[in-house]
Amino acid sequence: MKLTCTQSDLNTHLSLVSRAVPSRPSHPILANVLLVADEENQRVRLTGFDLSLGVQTSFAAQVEVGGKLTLPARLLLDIVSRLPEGDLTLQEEEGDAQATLTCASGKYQVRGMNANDYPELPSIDANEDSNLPVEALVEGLHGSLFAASRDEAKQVLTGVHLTVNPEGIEFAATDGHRLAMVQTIQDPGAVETDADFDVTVPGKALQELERMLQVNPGGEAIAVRFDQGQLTFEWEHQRLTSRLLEGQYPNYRQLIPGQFSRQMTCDRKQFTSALERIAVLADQKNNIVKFNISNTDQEIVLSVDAPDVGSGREALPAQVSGDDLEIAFNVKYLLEGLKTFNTTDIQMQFNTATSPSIVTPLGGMKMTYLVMPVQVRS
Amino acid sequence: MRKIIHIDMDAFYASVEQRDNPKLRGKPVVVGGRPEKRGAVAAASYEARRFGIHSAMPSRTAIQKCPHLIFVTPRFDVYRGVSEQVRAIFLQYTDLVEPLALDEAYLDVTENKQGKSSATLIAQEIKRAIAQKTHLTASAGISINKFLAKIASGMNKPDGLTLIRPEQAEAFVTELPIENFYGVGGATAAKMHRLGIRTGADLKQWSEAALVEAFGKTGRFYYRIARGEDDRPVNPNRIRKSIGVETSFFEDLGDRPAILAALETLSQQLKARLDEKHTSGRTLTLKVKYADYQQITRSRTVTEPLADREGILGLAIELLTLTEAGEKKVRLLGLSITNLEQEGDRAQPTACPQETYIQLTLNFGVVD
Repeated sequence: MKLTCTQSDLNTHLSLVSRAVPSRPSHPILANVLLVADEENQRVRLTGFDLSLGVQTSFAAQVEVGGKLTLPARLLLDIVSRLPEGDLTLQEEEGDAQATLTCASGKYQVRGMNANDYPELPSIDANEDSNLPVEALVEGLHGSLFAASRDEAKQVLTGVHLTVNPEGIEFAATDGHRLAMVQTIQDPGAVETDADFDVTVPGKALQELERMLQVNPGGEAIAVRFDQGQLTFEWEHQRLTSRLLEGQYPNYRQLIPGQFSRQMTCDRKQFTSALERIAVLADQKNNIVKFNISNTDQEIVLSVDAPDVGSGREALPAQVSGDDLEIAFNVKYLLEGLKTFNTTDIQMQFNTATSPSIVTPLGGMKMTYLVMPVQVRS
Repeated sequence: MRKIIHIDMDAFYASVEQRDNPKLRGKPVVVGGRPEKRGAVAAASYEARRFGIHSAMPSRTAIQKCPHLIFVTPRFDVYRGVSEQVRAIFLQYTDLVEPLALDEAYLDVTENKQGKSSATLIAQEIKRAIAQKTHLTASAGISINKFLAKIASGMNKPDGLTLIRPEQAEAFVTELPIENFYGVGGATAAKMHRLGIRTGADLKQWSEAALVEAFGKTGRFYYRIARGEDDRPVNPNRIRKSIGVETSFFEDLGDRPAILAALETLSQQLKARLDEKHTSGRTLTLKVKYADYQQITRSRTVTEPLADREGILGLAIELLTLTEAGEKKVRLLGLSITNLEQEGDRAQPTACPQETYIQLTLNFGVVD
C-alpha cells in the first residue's frame, strides 16, 4: 500500500473515526483504525468500531498502490495531529503490517495489525430506505440531544427517540427531569420514506453524527436504514452505524399538559443573560433559581440565595397572564434548553409550582421543552 | 491509624444446622426453601459449595447441581440466639460493633476495653471464645479500615484469620477482581466490565470525576477504595436504609388481577414492616422478576412520606404500569421503601432552618 494525502485531510477524518474506537477494547484489534486505500477511486477509507458504534469516512488521496491495514488509532492520531501541514505519504511494505509515515519534517514507523481480523461494520439489508433532509436532522439533534440522560443506568433514556413518517420527523429526549421535543418539517412528502418508524438511538452515536455532519455536510439528504437492532446513516462517503437501544421509550407526548393556567412571554436574550448571571451564584449550591412571576407588575424576578456565599436578583419585563406564581428551577436545565433556541422571544407556560412547565421559542423552530420544577420546602 | 476487625461466621445458618443435627455433618446441606416450593438458598454448607451452590441461588438450580442435596428449613430464632451470643463476646472488647447481618460484624478495637494493643491477638481471642461458646467457627479479617478488613476475612475461609498490613493494602486492592469489592454487586460489576474495569488496578486508572460521572456519588467511594482508603466509621447505630418485602410465586402469575392482588398483599406487609420500625419513606421501588428470570426495578420518589397502605398500593400500581407484568409472566414481586425518615424527624428543628429542594421528576407512568 502506498498513498499520499494532506495532513489536514488525514487528521480531520482520523479524529472523527477515532471517536468510535473504544478506549478499553474488548479485542486488541478494535483499538485500531482500519485504513483501506482504494486505487481505482483514489480514496482512503477509515473505519473505527467499538462493536456498538461504527464510523466510516473517506477522503480523496493519491493512491499509488491499494491495500488495507489497521493501525493503532490513538497513536496514529497523536502523531498525525502534530505533523506539520502539507502532504504526507503512508506506505506499507508488502503485508508486514507496519506503516511508514513520511512528511516534510520526518519519518515515523507504526506497527499495525492485519486487516483481515478487523470486524465488518454491520450491514443492513433493508429494502426500505428513508431519506432524511440534512438540515432537519441537524436542527432536530441540536434541539434534543442535550436532554438525553448521560447516566448509563437509565438505558433507553440515554438515547434520542426518532419518529419518522412522510409528514416529518420528531425528535425526543428526556432524562426524567426534562424533555426536549423537536418537530422538523411539516410538509407532506418532505421525507422520503417507505415506512413509518420509530427507534431509539444512543445519544453517543448521534453526537458523533452531529460532529460528522459539521465536518462533511455532504448532500441534501441522508439515507437511513435499520433493522431490529441496528441503524445506519449514510451519505457522501460517510457512514455511521449504531446499535439501537432496546426497551420501550416512555410515552412522552402524554407528559405535555394540554392546558396551562399561567403564561409568560419575554425577550430570549435578556432572559438568557439574566439567568446566566444568576447561575454564577446558583452554581455554588443545587443550581436553584427562583422565579417570581407577577401579573400586576408584568415582570419576572429571578433570584438566587446561596447560604454562606451570597445572593442575587434580576428583574425583567414580561407579558404575564394568569395569577402570580413563585416557582423554582434548576438553572442549568433552563439554560441548556434556551441555548438551542434562536428566536427573539420565548414563552413559558405553567400550572402550579410543582407541575411540569414548558419553554417554547416563539416562531421559528417547532420545539417544546418541558422542565420539571424544583420543589422548595422550608 | 485505626484497628478494624471484620468477623464473619462460616456458612452460618448451615453450620448451625450441622452442629445441632449430627446426621447433617459432612454432607451437602442447604438452608432455604425447597425446590418444589420455588425456594432459594439462604446458606450452603461448605460441602454443598463444592458443587457450585451458593446463597441466593434458586433451590431448583441447586438440586440440579447436586441431586443428593439436603434441604433444611431455616430456624431464624435459633440463628438470632447464636448471633446474640457472639455479639456478647464482641462487647467484651468494644462497644463499637456494627452488625451487618446476623452472621457478620465490624469491630473497631483501636481503643478497647481490655487495653490490648494487638488487634490480631484480639481476633484470635474472639475466634476462640466463639468456638467455645457456640461450637462454630468464624473467619476474621484485620486491617486499618472496614473495606480492607472485610476483604481480609474472606481470604482464608473457613476458620481463617488474615491481617492486611497498611503497607500491603494497595497491592491487595490492585489484584482484587472487581466483583470481590465490597459494594460492587452483580449489576455494578457488569457495568464495570463493560467499562473495561476488571481489577482494582483497572479501577485505579479512573479519575474521581470519571467515576462519579459513571456511578454517581458512589463513584467517590470506588475512587477511595481503589486506593485502599475507606474512612467510614464503625457505626454501632447503623441506620437502616431501606425496608422491603418480596414474594415469589408458587406458579408464575400471568394475569393482571392476580398480580394486583399480590401487590395488595405486599403493600400490606410493607406497611406492617414500616410500623414495626416506626418509620416511613419517600421512595418506593417495585421489583419484578419475570418467568425468564429477567429482573427489573421501577421506582418513584414522592414529596411526602408514604404513610398508609393505600398510598403505597396506589404508587405500586402506577409503577406496575411501567413494567411488562401481565404481558410477561411474573415470578417474583417485591416492594421496598428507601429515603426513610424516622418518626419525629420532621418535628425536630434543625440547627439553622434552611430550605430543602427537591427536583421533581417526570411521571412516565401516567396512562390516559
